[in-house]
Amino acid sequence: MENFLVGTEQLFTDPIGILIFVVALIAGLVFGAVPGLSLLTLGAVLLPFTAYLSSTHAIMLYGVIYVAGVYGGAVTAILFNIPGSVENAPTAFDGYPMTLKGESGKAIGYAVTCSAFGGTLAAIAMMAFTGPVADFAIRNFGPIEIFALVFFGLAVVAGIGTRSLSKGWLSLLVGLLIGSIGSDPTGGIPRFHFGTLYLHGGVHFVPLILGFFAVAEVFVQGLKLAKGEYKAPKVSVSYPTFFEFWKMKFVVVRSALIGFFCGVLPGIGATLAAFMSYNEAVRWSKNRLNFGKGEPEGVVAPETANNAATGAAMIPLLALGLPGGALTAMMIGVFNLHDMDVGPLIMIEAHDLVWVLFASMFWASLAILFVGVVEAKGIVNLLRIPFPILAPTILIFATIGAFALRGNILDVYSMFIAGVVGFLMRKGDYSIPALVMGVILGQIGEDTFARSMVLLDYNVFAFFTKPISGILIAAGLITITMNIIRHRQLFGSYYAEYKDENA
Amino acid sequence: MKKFLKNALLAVLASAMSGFGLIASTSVSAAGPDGYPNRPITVICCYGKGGGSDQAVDAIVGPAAKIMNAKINKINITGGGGLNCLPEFLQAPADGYTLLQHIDTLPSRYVEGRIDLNPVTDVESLVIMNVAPTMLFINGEDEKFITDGKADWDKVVAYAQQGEGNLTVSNINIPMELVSMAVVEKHFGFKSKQVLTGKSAERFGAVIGGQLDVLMEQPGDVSKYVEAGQLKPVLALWPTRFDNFPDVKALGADYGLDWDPLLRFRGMFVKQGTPPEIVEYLAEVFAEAYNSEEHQDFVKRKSLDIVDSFRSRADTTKIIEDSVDVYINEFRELGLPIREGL
Repeated sequence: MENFLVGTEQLFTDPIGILIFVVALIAGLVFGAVPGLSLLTLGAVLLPFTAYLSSTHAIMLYGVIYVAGVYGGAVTAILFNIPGSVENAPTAFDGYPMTLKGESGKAIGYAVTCSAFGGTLAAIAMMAFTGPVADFAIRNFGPIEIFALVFFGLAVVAGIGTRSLSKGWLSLLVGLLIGSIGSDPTGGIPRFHFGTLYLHGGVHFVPLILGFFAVAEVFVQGLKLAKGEYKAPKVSVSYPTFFEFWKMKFVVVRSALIGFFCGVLPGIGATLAAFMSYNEAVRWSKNRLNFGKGEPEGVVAPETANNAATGAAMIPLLALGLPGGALTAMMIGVFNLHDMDVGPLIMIEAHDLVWVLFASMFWASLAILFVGVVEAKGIVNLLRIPFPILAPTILIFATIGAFALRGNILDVYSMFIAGVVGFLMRKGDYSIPALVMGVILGQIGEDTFARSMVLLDYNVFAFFTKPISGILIAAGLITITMNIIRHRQLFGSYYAEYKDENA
Repeated sequence: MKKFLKNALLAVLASAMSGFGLIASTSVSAAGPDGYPNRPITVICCYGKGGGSDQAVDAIVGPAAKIMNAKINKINITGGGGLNCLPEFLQAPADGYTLLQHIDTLPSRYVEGRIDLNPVTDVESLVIMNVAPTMLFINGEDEKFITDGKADWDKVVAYAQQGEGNLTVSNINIPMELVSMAVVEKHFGFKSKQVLTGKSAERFGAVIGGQLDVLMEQPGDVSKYVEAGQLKPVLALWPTRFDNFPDVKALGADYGLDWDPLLRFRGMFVKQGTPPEIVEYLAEVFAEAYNSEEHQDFVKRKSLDIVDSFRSRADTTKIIEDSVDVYINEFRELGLPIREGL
């Protein structure tokens, strides 16, 4: 506590520090929200300039933009179906349907509050347990356990966003297939590349997400406009009530724990956190059939988790020097620019600096709450923009986002192809969330599965010889079985009626 | 070994000569041939933001931009193990305004047949700004491989020889590392279980966390873990022991392996067909940028001075040509597939 107070004092008694804190907060929110201006872009642009800042200011700057940026991406995901970054993609699954139902204010309110809560909780845990948690994670979670975790998560996916389990499974499997395009993660053998170098590296998931969400949505709404059926989403500034938040308490705590845990795993970070927490929200919810159609728990879970992962990612970064993602990798660069190396000695060698970082991330998480509340009241008015102006604007931003990813025009083509496919999938009641999760979790899953197989001598049953992976795989198999049984019970009658009506 | 010594001598001579050149002449002029550059230059970095190549590009491009008094933009086109950037590079005109940053995978993937870009005939080399040897590391607390507080390679070998796949190695799927490990295995008569990943955090973490036994890596990239005692170097894949690690045995001096070690190098290239005077000018600019105080700080901070990290244009061209031959021989020796016609 004393260290935290000293860090806070250093942060707020220094006018330059306060200025950098505020600028970083706003820049993180803006860059996180606009797809073409990702957090990584901001981080890369700022990196050379940090040489002119004091080491404390430089590190604090990155901590704050990380926290603010991960929340920022939720706003465009909710309002326009454009996730600002990959970890905000699950937020769009239910956030955007809430907007269509005229509940955009509530959706943003949930996102703001839960981002702040997740971030604050993780910041507290980060301050309390950096050493032991990092040590536990690195010793107990290798590729075998991470693959089991991904399998456990994927087991629930097929039921999201469609009434047909078979279409859900088909969507998931297509997602897994798309995720397997490119060089295989262990041997580097190229697959499904059709002779093009572009596909050697696989289909990047950012253009896919922009295509399946933003572009497909423009097509769907455009078709409605052409048919004269378009109705602009109702602008709502109503904030969730305390009672509504209270109902989310279990989702919030569970997602914060998942986010924290995923964030601690080196190289995994906020993306897995957001997707896993969304899946667990579906698994444990009483309203699981509403997911993908505007269920608030579908916003609460990923937004709590992805912000919880930001604080957690600092644990392996600071304690072991292992970054959880690209932005934390850049933070190593900032430390290096100031002649410091992250690792076990950093807590001793740069004790004050680390506590300023902890304090700034804690206060940034809380600041999101206040900035976000003000923002929520104002930003929903963007929905008043007429569709003929909004649609091309969305397409321009999505195109910039796809191209800016790595400067490759083929990513833009991929995005538009995904847009057309997404449009057709929605018409056919296939599950876009299941497909997207198949691509993202499938890529992590394949990589860890391939490495697990080497370690387990290519014996798939050996997953059950290790306690953590054994439990997770068994739980995943039980979930799949339960889902099939439950879906038959729930939708058996529905399909009978549907067939009768269409006979 | 002779070949290695010849190359090393050539490199030292060339470096000395280039250093002489820099001292004897003043600095490179800001204005290049025919007013070049009169618009921003683009550097295509084929690896991710924040990674080793990205940092190497940033470190040398800054001083180079100052020397030329020009803007240099960097774009990262990642994926495909550093191959996804190539179409963008190949589509750009050969006018010196599009530079390529690449590493030793350029010759090795060509030999493998994964790319058609011939690094000898299709590109002009400008400079190599990073040269790094490779070492094997163990967990700093792994008592089964430690004798009197020091990492003991003989214990690693004895453990590995107990059974095929007994020793687990954290490695990356790049020919340089894979071939190097295969050479070690062949020389010591064991077969390890290699777990490959491109993510450095997971690669290092697997050994630091005690899940795998040995890490193959360039010492500069893991220096902070070594200083913290989390990793201990156990074998230098080099003819002689390094001054920085005098207790760590070397493949050549201690185990009698007569082998030219493969190098991790990072260099800058332009397309074949770029006007020769621009190629020469850029090579001079990067040579001066390499020696700038700003860049030298980076070299020291990243421990890139274990071996001389600079190679002039002529040396870079030679290294690329030699690398193609070296990989052809190594691949043949190991029974790996080679591009048709080589």
